[in-house]
Amino acid sequence: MPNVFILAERRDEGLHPISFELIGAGRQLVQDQGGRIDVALLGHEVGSLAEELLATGVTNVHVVEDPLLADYTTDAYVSTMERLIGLSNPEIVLIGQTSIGRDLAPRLAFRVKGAVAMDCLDLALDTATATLMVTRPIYGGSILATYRFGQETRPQIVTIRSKAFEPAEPLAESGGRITDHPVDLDSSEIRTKTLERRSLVKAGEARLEDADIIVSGGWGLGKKENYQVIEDLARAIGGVPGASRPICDLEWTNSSRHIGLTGKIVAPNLYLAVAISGAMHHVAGCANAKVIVGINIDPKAPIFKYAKYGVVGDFAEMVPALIRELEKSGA
Amino acid sequence: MDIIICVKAVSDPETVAHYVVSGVGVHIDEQNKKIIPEGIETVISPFDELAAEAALRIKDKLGTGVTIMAISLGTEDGIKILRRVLAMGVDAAILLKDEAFEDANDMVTAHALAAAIRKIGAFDLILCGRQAADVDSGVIGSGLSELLGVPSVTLAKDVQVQGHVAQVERSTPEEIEKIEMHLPALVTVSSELGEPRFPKMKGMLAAKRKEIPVWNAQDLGLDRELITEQSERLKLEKISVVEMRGQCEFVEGESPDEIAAMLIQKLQEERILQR
Repeated sequence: MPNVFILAERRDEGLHPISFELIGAGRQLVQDQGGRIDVALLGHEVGSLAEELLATGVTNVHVVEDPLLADYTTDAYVSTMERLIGLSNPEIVLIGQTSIGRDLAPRLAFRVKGAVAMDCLDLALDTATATLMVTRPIYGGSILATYRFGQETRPQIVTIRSKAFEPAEPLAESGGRITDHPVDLDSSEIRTKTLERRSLVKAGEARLEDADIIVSGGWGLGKKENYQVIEDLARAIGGVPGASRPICDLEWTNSSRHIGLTGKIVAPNLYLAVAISGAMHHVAGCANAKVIVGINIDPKAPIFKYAKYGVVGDFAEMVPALIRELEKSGA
Repeated sequence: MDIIICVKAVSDPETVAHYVVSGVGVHIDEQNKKIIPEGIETVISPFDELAAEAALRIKDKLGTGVTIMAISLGTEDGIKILRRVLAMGVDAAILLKDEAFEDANDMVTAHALAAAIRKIGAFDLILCGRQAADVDSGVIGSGLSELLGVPSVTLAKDVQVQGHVAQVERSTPEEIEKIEMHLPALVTVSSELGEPRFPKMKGMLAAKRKEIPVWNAQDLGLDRELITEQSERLKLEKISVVEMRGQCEFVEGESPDEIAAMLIQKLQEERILQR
């Protein structure tokens, strides 16, 4: 009868979609076993979001509000989660594989003396022992590895990849309880000080994670100026521009556009990979696309192993041609 | 100022991916749950190489009085990558090797590295890659900082040291954050840091002559029972090669415009694009 503890995350003024995916995963684990699903919501003046979480039918929503929790810091969030886990004693803790999750989960696992498996795609529960088996990618995604937690290892902490699980929908009827916890933090406990924060997401720009169509560019573009064709095609096709890691590292475009294992995970209807070779760590980010189209001058480029449609050609010719044809067809 | 870097030797993930994708295939040793590294070179995990680069940039800036020590846990392959970072300009290196460390999980690895660092003595800054390019977990850095009781910042694109303070630029897909913390501390670095320096011939020759001590579990004062207990917490059960997707339909034509028109038509037929 596993009790599951989930960390909800926020995005802008609302809840991050991964919060609902984690609840979906939690539901799968708890099923008819009768375990609890507890959700933690940390922040400042975020209480209004608790109802939205409760509506999915979870057992408890634990709200901890304080200015010290407004933005993520390692110490504040790890300490707060440690305290809540101590009160709740879950067998399983689910966290999103996000910028917060990547930082929080490992330290938390060592703090509470459990164990952690990161970036999991699938979970299986041995109901007799409430022990988890997880599947996660290794070698950049070329190989899948399955791990088993120890029978006495508690809590079993897992970070879950974005879009690996279906989000939980609100239920027609939901019980559950919201509990407000006083914060137990002193600013002196927070050993990191944020001097400056600069958002990479342009106001009004559509999110890659929510986009139906993405046009993505890679190293084959050759130089920074050529990224312009990606932006032009994205505009023409009604999509959002993305990029592979190497060109973000080279600053040909904003790293908020980075799609891949260490960037964003996307699931559009259409993913146009332009001048992208198709390295595993990039494909890890776009493999969920319904249709991948590869445009590359090299017929042997790995992208064609993942694409449904391929065009072997020079992007400098193909992209303008696509823009012309799109304008013609009035798309 | 004493900097410690943690570096891991991995089977080149680029080669692994290439073999998987090209159909050459990667053979799996089912019993030992390992990939069989035939034709796959052992390299330094790329993010760890960047940790070495980050350390060297600090040394370049602060000049004398900065010592960089590299630690690697694993097999004899560790010697090769330790020589590489020595060649890059790192001052000293230590290999942690023991039967008990073979196929160590993240927990065991973090405990072993922590024990080694305690044995080395005082440090100001520890630098690691954000994740090892084979297991891709990203646990060691934070875990190590928790065991050693120091603050940490992950996903750094830049690390500066001024006196007793580290200033780190943390780079995520959403934002860049400038963070300050007192030393001693730990930072994990990401690819946004840039390019690692290539060792010069002089460095490579000097590296060859340096002695690399090898410490085992006993040298580290690590209890066998602790290692076993930590190993049980998360065990690898099985590995399998990812299935490649189905066939790609290549769209061809007499001209780019013709190809473009055909592609758009196909996507419209599939209702991926609107008419």
